[in-house]
Amino acid sequence: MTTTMTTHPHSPPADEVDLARQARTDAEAFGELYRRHVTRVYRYHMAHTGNVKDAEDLTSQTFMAALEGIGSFRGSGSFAAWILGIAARKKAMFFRRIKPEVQIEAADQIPSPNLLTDQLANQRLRLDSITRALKQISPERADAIALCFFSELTYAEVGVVLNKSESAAKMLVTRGLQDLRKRTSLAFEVEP
Amino acid sequence: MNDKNSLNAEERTLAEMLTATAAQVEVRASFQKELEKKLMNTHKPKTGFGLFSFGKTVSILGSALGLAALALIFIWAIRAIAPKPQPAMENLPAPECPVTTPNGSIPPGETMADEGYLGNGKIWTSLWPEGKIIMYSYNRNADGSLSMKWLWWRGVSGPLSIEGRRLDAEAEPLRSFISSGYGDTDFQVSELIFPTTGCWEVTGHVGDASLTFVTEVVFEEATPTPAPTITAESTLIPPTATFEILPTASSTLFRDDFEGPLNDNWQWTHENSEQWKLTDNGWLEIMVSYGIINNSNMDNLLLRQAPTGNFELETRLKFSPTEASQMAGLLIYENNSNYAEFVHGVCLTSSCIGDEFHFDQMTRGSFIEENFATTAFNTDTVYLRLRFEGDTFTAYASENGTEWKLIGTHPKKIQPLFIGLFAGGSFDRSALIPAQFDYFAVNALP
Repeated sequence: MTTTMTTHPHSPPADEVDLARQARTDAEAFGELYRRHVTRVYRYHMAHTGNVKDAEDLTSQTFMAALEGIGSFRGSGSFAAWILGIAARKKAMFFRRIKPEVQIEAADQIPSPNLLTDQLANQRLRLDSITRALKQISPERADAIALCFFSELTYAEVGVVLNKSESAAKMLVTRGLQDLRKRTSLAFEVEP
Repeated sequence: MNDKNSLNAEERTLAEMLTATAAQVEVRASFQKELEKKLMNTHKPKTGFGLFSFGKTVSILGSALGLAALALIFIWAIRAIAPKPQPAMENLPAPECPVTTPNGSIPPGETMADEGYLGNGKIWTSLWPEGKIIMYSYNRNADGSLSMKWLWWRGVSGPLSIEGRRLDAEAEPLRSFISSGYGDTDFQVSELIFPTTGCWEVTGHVGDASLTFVTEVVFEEATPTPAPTITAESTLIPPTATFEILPTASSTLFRDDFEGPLNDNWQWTHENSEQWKLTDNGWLEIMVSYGIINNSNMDNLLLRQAPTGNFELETRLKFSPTEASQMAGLLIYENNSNYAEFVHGVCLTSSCIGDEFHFDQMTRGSFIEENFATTAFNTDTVYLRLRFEGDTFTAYASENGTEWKLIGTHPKKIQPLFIGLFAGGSFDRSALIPAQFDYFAVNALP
């Protein structure tokens, strides 16, 4: 496996500030931003909800809110951090208002057409485990983990979303990983 | 860049597992596509290219019909502000039509309120205000029937089928077209094809479930135009008595037929020499580039100093735009934040027509409210004219160079320092297509 924590070179593309400015008045520009960031938003919501239906609903809410608020994006941070900030708020509202806990067992199948059935099953089980484990650690650390590994934000961007410094965000991720290893059964998933 | 120095081997492995698992989580293609459409059509632009003002109901309605099948909220708003139907020769009276009223049942997956929702827990649709579908000339098919995009939501699994009959007179049954690619459940776009106006009963079926509504279909000869200076559907007549169809030589201030090297005094702004050329048959060809003028990232604006006094620009443009925001045409330019552009282009947002002429004035970095769009001619070669007279800019388009269609008039809010040609606006860096200009002429006006 080659993916590591060092693979987060996601400085915002230079044209995203321009795109965001255009997106205030041009749906095509917003569409371009949507296409660039929908996967990271969706994965973030999948990490927290563990099921397709809720993740799609939250993804939809996230981008609808972004559409309404695109004028407030000033380009001081990356668009990724901005959109994930919205996603984080939508997620928080979702768990606070609607469902205290997602029924992992009822999770929908995760569609990955390129995977074989057994791979799909393993992937589903693994994501279920991650979602369950994230609920067993502090919400802030869980959020940092989801933002870092599922939404592929840099520590600096994670800090923007969580209103922390870059070093504090890094600490949240590190401590989150330690929590996952020590306090959840997720470590068993990665045992050889 | 994140690092892993502070992690032990176990935590690093855990981090790798998280990353790998995340990488396998893919967005359903159908969901992604549907959400994108919803966003595109919910987008409420202010003004500008693809951003025409709310006042341009013509444009908005046209695009809603042609492009914004999913723009439920937007479409509803436009329906709501459209003028009440006026008596028209073709409208058959249907005073007794028992139109169905919405029941407010929100379709699955929809979070925004729409006053037109009608549903029964298994199938949903969205009705027009007052149960009346208003058709315009662009809804009319070659056989005289009238088409309207129609939205459905399926709470049960299965393909949608549609049937319908006219209630107030004998008529052929309703026809429909069901768009593919929407899966077995949830949102579904269709097209209802009414053979005539009148009172119609329409039923959608999904498996054993069905939803029936009654609606009135009327036709309006005139296109609603709330407040623009010039109606978008103008007549094919010279707009003023002083209009010169073929300006005399004495009135020509400048002309470049692009038969040889570019005429003196042209200057390129953001020249990309690899993306323009003079063709062997005497056309200036500019590849449509990425970027827009207002962002200072559009290549190859060909400009020259504007003459003093009133003038008219004219070009013959060969251009077949296909992708969003591709455009080419005439430019009156002060700087990147202040200009007037009259182009043939494609705009795919909910407020646009699609393949269209549009005439926008950008002032201080924003498009002013009264911008104009009109459906482009069904030909790839058109004539464009842009006039500066006193305190107005006026745009015209023509298929043959003789009969001119008035596109619109802007009050002058910029200084016409430079004039010229450009092609650009594409959002797709790889979708380069040529725009060819046969000539550029500047004629003096009284």
